[in-house]
Amino acid sequence: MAYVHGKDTVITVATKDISPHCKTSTYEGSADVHETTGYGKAAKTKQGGLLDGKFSMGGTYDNTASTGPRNALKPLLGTTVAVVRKPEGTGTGKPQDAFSGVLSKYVETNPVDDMVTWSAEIEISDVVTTTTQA
Amino acid sequence: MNLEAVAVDLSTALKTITGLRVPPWGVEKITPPAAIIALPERITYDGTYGRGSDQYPDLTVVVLVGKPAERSARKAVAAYADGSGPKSVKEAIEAHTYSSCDSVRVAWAEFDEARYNAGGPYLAAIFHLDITGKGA
Repeated sequence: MAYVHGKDTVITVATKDISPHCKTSTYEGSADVHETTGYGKAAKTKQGGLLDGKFSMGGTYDNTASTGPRNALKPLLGTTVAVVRKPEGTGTGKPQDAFSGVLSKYVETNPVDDMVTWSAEIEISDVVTTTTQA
Repeated sequence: MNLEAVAVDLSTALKTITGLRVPPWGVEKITPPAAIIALPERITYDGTYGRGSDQYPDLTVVVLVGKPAERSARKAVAAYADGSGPKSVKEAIEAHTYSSCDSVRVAWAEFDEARYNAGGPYLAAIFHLDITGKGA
């Protein structure tokens, strides 16, 4: 067991590696929770339902033609994209999440005294496939 | 982003200012007006994932003019510190097309008296640059 630094994280969207333009990313898995409490109980009982998830990412804007966020992501807004996330980087035995999702938001922010930044959100569709990298 | 390559790029940009000398690193004596490209205060690595970007958040360029008390020195330093114009250090640096890095911004400037080796004192304008480029 060891702490893992975030700097080696790898993210590809629609097969394009956008990692060099990312400063942050968040995977958020969630599940519906159904209440199943019946008469005579002293406390609520619950049961898990459908899984759901969101993925967000952001970083420094870059106008690289193929993998810069504007060129790689903006045209895909509203479409379903394939995402591969390697939270510990690339390497044998390291984990990898693969999923599809709808690119629901793409944001560019231009502060007067700093670099242009971008962020995007993906609503995950269907299950997240977690594997170990070969 | 290689520090030496960035210094060469900055030197090329500064040499577009007519009359401003840009001596190489380590020269023993300078003749003002001269621009000295200093080392950055620090290098910030890993600005983005996968060695995507590095940053020099504060690299200084020191422009030395004449004796501090001379009227002509104040006039000269004012022209170099101007935000635009033929002597503007900010304009010359930011107008250059860089091959060594992605973005160079002259963020701010300050004034002081400075010595270079045994020479001086000179009236100095110290420009603080924010530079961002590829990490690998």
